[in-house]
Amino acid sequence: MNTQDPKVRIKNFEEVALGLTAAEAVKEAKRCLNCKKAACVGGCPVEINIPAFIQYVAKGEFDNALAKIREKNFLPAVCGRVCPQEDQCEKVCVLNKKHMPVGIGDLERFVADWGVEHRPETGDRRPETIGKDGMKVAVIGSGPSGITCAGELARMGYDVTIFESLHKPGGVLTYGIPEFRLPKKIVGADIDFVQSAGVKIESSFLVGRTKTIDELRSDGFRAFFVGIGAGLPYFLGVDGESLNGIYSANEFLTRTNLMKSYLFPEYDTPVRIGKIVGVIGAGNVAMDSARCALRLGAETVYIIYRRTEKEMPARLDEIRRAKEEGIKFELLTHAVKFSGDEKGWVKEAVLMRNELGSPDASGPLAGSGLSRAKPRDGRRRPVPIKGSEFTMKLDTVVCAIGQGPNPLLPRTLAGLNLNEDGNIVVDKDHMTSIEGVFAGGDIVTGAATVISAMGAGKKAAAVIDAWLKACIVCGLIALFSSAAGAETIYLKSGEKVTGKIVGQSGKSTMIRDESGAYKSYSTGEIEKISKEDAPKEPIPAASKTSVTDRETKKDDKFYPYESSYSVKLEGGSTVKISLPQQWKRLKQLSGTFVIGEFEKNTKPKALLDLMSIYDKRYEKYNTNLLRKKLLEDFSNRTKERRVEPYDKTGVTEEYSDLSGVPCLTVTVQGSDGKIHKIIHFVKGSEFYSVTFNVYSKDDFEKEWPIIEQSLNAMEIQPG
Amino acid sequence: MSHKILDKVRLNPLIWKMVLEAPLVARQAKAGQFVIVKIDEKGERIPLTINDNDPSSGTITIIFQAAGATTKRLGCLKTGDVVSDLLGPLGKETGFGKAGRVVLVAGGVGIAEILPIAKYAKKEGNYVLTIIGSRTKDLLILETELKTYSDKLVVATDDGSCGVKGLVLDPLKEAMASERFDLCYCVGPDIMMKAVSETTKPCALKTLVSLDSNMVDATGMCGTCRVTVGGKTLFVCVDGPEFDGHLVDWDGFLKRQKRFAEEEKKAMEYLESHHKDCIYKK
Repeated sequence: MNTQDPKVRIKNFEEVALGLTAAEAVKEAKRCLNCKKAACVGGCPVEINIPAFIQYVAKGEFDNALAKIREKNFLPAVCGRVCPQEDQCEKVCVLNKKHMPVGIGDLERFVADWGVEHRPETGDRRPETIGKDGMKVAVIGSGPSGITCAGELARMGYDVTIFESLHKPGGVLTYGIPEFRLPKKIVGADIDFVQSAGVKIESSFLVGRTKTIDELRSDGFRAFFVGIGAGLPYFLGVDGESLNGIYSANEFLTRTNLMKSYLFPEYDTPVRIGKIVGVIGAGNVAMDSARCALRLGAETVYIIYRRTEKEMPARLDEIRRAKEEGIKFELLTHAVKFSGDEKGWVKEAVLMRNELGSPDASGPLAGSGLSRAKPRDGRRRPVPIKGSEFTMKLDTVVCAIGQGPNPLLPRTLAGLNLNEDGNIVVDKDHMTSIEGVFAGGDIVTGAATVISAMGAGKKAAAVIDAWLKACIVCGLIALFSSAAGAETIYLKSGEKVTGKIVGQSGKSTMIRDESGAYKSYSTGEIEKISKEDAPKEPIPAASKTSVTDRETKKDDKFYPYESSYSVKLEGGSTVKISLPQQWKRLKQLSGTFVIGEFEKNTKPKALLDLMSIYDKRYEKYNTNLLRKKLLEDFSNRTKERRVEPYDKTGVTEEYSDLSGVPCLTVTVQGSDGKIHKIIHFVKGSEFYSVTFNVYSKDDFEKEWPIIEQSLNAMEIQPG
Repeated sequence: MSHKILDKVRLNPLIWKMVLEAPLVARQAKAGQFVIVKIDEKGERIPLTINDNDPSSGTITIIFQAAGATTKRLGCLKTGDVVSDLLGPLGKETGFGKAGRVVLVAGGVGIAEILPIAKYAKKEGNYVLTIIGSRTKDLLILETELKTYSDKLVVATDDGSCGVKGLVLDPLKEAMASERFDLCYCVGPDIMMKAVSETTKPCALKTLVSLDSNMVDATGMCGTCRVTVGGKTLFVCVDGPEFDGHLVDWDGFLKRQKRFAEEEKKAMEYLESHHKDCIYKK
């Protein structure tokens, strides 16, 4: 790929790599063998269908290529530039064995940039936003994991808001990676795309301070994804580290990139750069810092790294470009201390040489200036050579030895499990120790790459989707919702109840009282509701019900097809609830819950009845659209009908009411003796079917009233 | 989301009071906390103490001295103008509770910052002696307001134009000699906080200081505001702004405070040549 001349580019902040031309891209794409078993797809953390998009490029259909990438990746322009392709897709490319691998990263970048430039009306397909069901999900942090998670959830139809503490979204893409490697215009275009999918972004909002997660729960957010990255700068822990002129890489890069201090004083934020700059570390952040320093006017810039070039964690391209630009490398070297002048400015560093020891897992050397960084698997450990100390004149130092988890948000979340490094502990489904709070990206793994954070965001989105549905089913949302402040409900009879309204329809109001029990009142009975004179103690969740086990069977890395939840109920017994992924939407639900058989294009009685009830109840709402959609979807469903797997002894159908929303309950006893209860209802503009499988009829009879109560407590709002 | 300036009052030739629309911050703000304000696209992110907050009207009050380029630019905004970004509340809230007998010491624009502390101290049921100092009578601010929350208020001016003549240190020493105190709280110029800490240290009078530092994100991400306290490196933005004055490494801190001195000069020159309206006429 063409790049700006090193001599020219060290004087500007414009992008270094110029990208492929259309002709070059087509030519490169034609090298792809379109393997049947494409290894590259497996090498991609977000599983882009790489051969498919490359075939479109080869045909010159760039709009289709973009659409293909965007099926899986919300940030193609970013990934094309910052992914370590040499360790991922390109590494496993078949051509890599004998020749050069296909330039997958370059092609991805080309397609994305083409999209930014052309914004094709049809080609740049906006994510398909299926009718919002009003279920609110909060994503904390707008970096790669947060953006991806938010985009995926919005695509599924959730109402997603991203909360970002800085004034601009993008996280590390905005504050960290410099303009010359990742133009902010490009980041902006990818973020615009996510917003066009319906994601809202609240910037200058620090969750934990501006509002806590508990307060956001009271605002109606059901699930949370914490993707706050690795935002705590590590220092070396050596003498003289607070001298003036010593920056953390976070500070140095944030000033330069987010605050545009390279345009100071036109922009108000300064960054002071000396003549000789030492950057400690050799990851991407270190390369970025060194190259920024050069562009800010430094005369000599050193990368000071404790191992050899082979162990450097930075992308190969970045190391190569840093060298082209004249960055000097002091390898097998670490800093022992810094000393300064009388005014407190750093003037020199005492450095020490190392040799490589064995690749063991022994701890870092305390107090040696190597104390923060952790040994990586299989990399040889640097061992200081006695008596090798020497001094180097420096007037600016940038510490780029890694970042840790910022404790600000975790501190405000009681019950959140952290590991010894302060990273958030999650289970295999990305759920933290707090039900409904998920986490992914650097805050979980420690500082890693953009793409691995995106992979985590994507997987978390799928699990959040499954979890929210589980919650809908058993009413757990009401049960887990951390007990917002109580309300006093005054009844017309003069009686008053302290509790929390958990569901309300025109007809009835469901209240969870102080003991956690549910009570239903006719809405007409209520005189007024007051928050002010209610006791300050929160209303407890009905904590006797809890999810004791979750099991997810995965057909696909990101979309668990079936989740089972064991729910321990108040009565003491455990009910296993299975949630086929397909019940998400009628469209995807085709045939799963077919009761009986019907001919194509005939409308099943159940649907007709449901629709007539719906029409009667909600005359004031526009039900035409819904009718149309239901019919359309039902006709699709008959195309793919499956045979009902149960023997149909004991099928009963029953119409009932969930907080004023009509539903149809079908009870089936299978030949295995299991009871299957299937509830169909329409919520918002969507049709849901929910299945419960219960082991024995006795269990079922005992537990059903409790499940029903939970379902009733759901805050189902019509229309 | 931008934040509207609803009111603006000049308290003295250098110090402005502004009421800003910030409903979320107004709900949460506690004594001792601050906000980050960024004026516009090109602005820097500066920390400003939350002087007052009103959850019902959704407003916060900030009081600042137009000393640097950004604060001068902020001082030039008019009622009805907006600042583009505002983040908060940040920093740890004051939490000394009922300490007993408390002496508050403040100077310059620190007088504005001590007001919410005085309010808090009084509400917690402390005896409050407040000592405030300025160069001259005309620069004194908020005397009446502070009286409301103080059992006793002592004023010191360098030229003796109001109250006692001299620095705040003299009335502080005097008070310590004649009365017993359980806590000292000081906000003001760095050099004053250092001197007050040195004055109270021999008597082991616990002293809290509220530090101000250049910041970028103010969420613990960049470390520019680091300060050594009791041998540990802490961040003013998340570990502070309140610290034990006896443990702060004052020499290190004072040197670090000058890390952008040259750039501040450049910024002022730029301001003078590009934003002529923002230069005050006395």
